[in-house]
Amino acid sequence: MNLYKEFEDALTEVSENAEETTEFGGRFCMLIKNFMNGMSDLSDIDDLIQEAMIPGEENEN
Amino acid sequence: MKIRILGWDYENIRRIGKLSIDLTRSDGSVYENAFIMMPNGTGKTTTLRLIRAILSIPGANEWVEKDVRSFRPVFKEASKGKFSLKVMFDEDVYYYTLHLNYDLGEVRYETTRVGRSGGLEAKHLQPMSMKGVLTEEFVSRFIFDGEQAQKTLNAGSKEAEKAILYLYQLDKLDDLCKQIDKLIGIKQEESKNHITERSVSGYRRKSEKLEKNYQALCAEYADALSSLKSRKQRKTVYEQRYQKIISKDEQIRNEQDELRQLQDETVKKKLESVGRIMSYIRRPYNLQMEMHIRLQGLWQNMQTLRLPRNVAKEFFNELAHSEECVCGREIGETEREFILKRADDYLGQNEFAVLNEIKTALKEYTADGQGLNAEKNNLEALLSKEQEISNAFDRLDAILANKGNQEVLQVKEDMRRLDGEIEVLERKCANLNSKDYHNDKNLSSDNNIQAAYDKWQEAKAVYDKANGTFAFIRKAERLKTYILNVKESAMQRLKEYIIQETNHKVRTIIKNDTIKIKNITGHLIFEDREGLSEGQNLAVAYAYLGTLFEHSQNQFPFVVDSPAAALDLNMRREIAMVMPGLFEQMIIFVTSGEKQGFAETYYARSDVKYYVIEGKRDKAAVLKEGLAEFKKSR
Amino acid sequence: MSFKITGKCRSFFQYIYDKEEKDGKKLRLLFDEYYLCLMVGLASEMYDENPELEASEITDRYPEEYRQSRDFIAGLLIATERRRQGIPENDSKALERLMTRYLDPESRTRLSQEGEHRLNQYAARGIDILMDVMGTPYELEEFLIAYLDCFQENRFYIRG
Repeated sequence: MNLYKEFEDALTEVSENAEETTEFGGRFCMLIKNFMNGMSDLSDIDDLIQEAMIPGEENEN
Repeated sequence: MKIRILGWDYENIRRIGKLSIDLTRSDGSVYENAFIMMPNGTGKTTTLRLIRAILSIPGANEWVEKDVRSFRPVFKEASKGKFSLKVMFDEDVYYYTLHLNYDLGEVRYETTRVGRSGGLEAKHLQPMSMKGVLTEEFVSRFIFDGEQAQKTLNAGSKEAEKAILYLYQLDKLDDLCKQIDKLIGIKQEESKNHITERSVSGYRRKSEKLEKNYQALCAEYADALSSLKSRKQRKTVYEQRYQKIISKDEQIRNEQDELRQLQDETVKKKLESVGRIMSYIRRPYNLQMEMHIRLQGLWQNMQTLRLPRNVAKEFFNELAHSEECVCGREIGETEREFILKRADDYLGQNEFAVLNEIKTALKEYTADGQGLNAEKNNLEALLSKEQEISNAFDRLDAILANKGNQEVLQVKEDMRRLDGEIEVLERKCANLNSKDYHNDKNLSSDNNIQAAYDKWQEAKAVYDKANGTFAFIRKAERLKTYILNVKESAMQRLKEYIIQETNHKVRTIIKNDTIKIKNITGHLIFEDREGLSEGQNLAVAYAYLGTLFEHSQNQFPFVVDSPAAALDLNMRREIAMVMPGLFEQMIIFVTSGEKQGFAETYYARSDVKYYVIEGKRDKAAVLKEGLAEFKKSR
Repeated sequence: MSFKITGKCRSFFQYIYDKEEKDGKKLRLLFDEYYLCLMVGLASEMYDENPELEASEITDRYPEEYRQSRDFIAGLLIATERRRQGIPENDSKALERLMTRYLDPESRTRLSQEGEHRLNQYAARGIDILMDVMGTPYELEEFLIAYLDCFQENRFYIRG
């Protein structure tokens, strides 16, 4: 479910500027939207964290 | 989601006995505006509180007895009360009832979803799409008491920003961060240690150090093996050279061959002797005279004492279960217990047999200490012989040397030296390579490869786990940063829009002054001025709220208590004109004092429902409906 | 319970023990190590009260080579304990009690658990004495000669 415009824009801005893989960006947006729509799962959050880069190692790929 | 309040019913609430408020028209549509006039003390605050309790979670579930009893009627005795609210979520109608038991101080909910099967449910239900939305913070931003509006603008309050936070659910992003913190807590817990960058470095250094140690031992082993191999090869070369030297001299060669044969025989005899000695030793009576004496002493003793005695245990067991003893006396419970206890001191049949066998063995053996001694002497002689043969070999070398071949002595010396080195290296390799270091206290991670490896792997596992946890924590914090960035960015965008729109609305309300919101930092910051008059405050507050509501994805009713009490007449009229445009549904509680300038501005409209609830202090309030009654009331 | 040794015993005999040995140059049975220590302990009439025994037994029965010796080992245990405990020669009841305590006709070794444990304690004390009196052996034949000499010379604190 889409959220209001300002939220969608903010989400897009942050996920595009994040120094992560494209896959991460997509999953990040999904996680936030799901959470805002009342769907929350610790294991989903855990998976997303594992996907993130370790700070400082973004340029290694 | 569009939320509308369709009406409510009171039963035994404070000054109200039994009343119904209906905000729908005959065709079922909802009045866009409603004015409820209630003098102070009649129950405005109570009504707002009850509406909030029904619309939000956890609502009244957190009330204690005192809270419940605060709604008890003042004008009569009543053990129970009821408040029902009819709400429309989009097209679904929910009828909520809050049952109050004043005697017990308890409250419970009932919900009926009109038109659905299932009927009445003893629960507090909300539509699925509103799950997590209708929190108390959120609901109190549209079920308003007058002070709330004031707070929106107070410099000391953060209400203006909080209203955005809750109405646009940005507070949920803080909840998401809390979930991440929970996960971090779980990982820390699993690792059993508090992981920091420093501790991880420490573990890594330890692991690396142990790895180097292991690798050094492996290298040492490889070196030792290589040295061993080269020494053995060199020994072979020396042996070959030695043989070549010897073979040149036929006499020496022949003597050597004889010696070798003798040597082989001696070794064979030696091993046979060792075998025989072990056989002797395995009979303890051969080992030492003292052992023989001890065993013979035991046999003598057994003989003298006539041991083993005749089987007694079975006899006593049988006796214990008889009624009479052999001496004629009666055997009672006490006697029985005693006999059975003492029976254990005596031998049973099987034990008797074993002892007899031992006794027989002790009687019949023949010690042969002399035989063992003789065999030992034989072995010593054989070892001597071995040494003699070795000496004889050396002598042959000396003879060869005397004949002019000095090389042979040197070769023999080198071989001897190599033998020593080989022995040392073999022992070193055995120590390094042994897999059984647990049972050898001489072996440790300093000199045994397996021990060093196991220790390194242990440390590595600790480091990997800590590092994994640490990496996880760093990634988790990174994710939180992204989430908070979303919150901040969304908040900023919302503020920009809301400021712009509110300023637009304010311009239409406040015509005689230029009031412009510059920023929202907790509270509203105005351009070119520090503060506003009370009336301007309220006007701006409602314009702000109206913008918030209007822009939101959800439409909710604006329920407010005394919105215009502090305003002057002109301002009241201005607000009154603008407010219907700000909110889709408005329910306004007023006192009679707010009719002038505010409520009267609505008289010409057709979309307003009017109610008056009033009554004497010690009697139940009375409900009057319609504009005429509203106008009349004081 | 059965027969158990200490780690010290294994490391003392490590150069003259090889379970794969076929030629007789080294000891082939762990029980040989146990027995050699046991004899020293029994000779000294001292046992280790808190031996650091290995968790697993080396065997739960006498090896074939020692089958004929089991009655003598049992007899030696009883005789040694009688002396150690000071049981008078004419006290048949006490002697009989001692025998029932250490013997178990149902057991593979004919010894009760207590009997086996006491033997283990004697063997544990035996290795301590061996290590004290002799150096780590590297050749079996030299060890055996030295071992027998120590018995002959009462170097294992044999009480007469």
